[in-house]
Amino acid sequence: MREILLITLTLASLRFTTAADLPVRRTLTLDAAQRIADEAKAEAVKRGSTVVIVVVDEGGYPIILERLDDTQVASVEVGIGKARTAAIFRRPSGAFEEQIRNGRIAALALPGATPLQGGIPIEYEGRVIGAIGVSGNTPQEDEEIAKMGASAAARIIASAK
Amino acid sequence: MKRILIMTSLFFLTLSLSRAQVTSKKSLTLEGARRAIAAATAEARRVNAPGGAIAVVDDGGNLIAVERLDGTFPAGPLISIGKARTAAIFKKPTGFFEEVIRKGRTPMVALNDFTPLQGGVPIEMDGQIVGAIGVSGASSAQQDEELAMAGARALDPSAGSAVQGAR
Repeated sequence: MREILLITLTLASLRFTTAADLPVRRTLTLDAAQRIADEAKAEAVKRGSTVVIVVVDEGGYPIILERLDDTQVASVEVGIGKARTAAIFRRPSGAFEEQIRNGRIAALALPGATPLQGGIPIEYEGRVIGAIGVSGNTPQEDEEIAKMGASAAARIIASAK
Repeated sequence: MKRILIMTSLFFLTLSLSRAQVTSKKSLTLEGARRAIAAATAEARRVNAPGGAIAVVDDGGNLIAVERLDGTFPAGPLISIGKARTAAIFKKPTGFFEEVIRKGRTPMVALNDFTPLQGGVPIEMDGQIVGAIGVSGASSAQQDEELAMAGARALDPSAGSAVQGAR
């Protein structure tokens, strides 16, 4: 009887420690992703840009995507690619474009990377919790629009609390 | 003068000929796509669906908008985009193809760009298919399709019956 009690207690404590040891991560909700995308969209509309705006989670999977009217269809895949790159490599996708331009051609072989300017990580409390990708205009403009979304993320998430 | 007349009539003749080479069609806007997604989302909430990734594509199967409800599995958007694309470019609900394949037409799975899984329905406006909506991640393939139909109906109230008729 005592043995059973001991085993149960051990098992219970094991379970407890395992659960307690797991790190807790923040994840983006659809609501936050929508509002981040809206910030970027407002900037795109202001500039008269035809772009795709996509927000992905930390694993690079889309939460929301919008293709503004009259945007070239190829930008859907490119936009998702830029956002995924920024999310899973935890840096702006433009960093790889820069590396390649500076002679590190091998960066083209990175698995799952779209090394084109326009993807920006979304950070919260010092961690990358997702990314925003924009495609459809000049690389510079794509990135500027993406930054409008990413830079609003902290404020948006804080206001939702 | 006569020459000018001939030139002018030739010009108008070419003009009318070239006009016949293209036709006009309605195209779905982002606003329309979002309205369909909002309707599908509202339906998901109403029936307490465990999740849902909802995608709307244009008549060429190209994505206009997608939303993944909180808690839906990460691959959801990929599947729902595939369902919507299939419904758009084959102009039929994807459930139709799932059924055809189940009944034995297995070679159909070899088609390119083809997601023959229930949950994708065309979006019609004024009797014309302008795109499609696909849903993945609800409680069942049946519920995926019901949410998709709720979305399609937001743009064309007769969509539900059209889908039923096609099956």
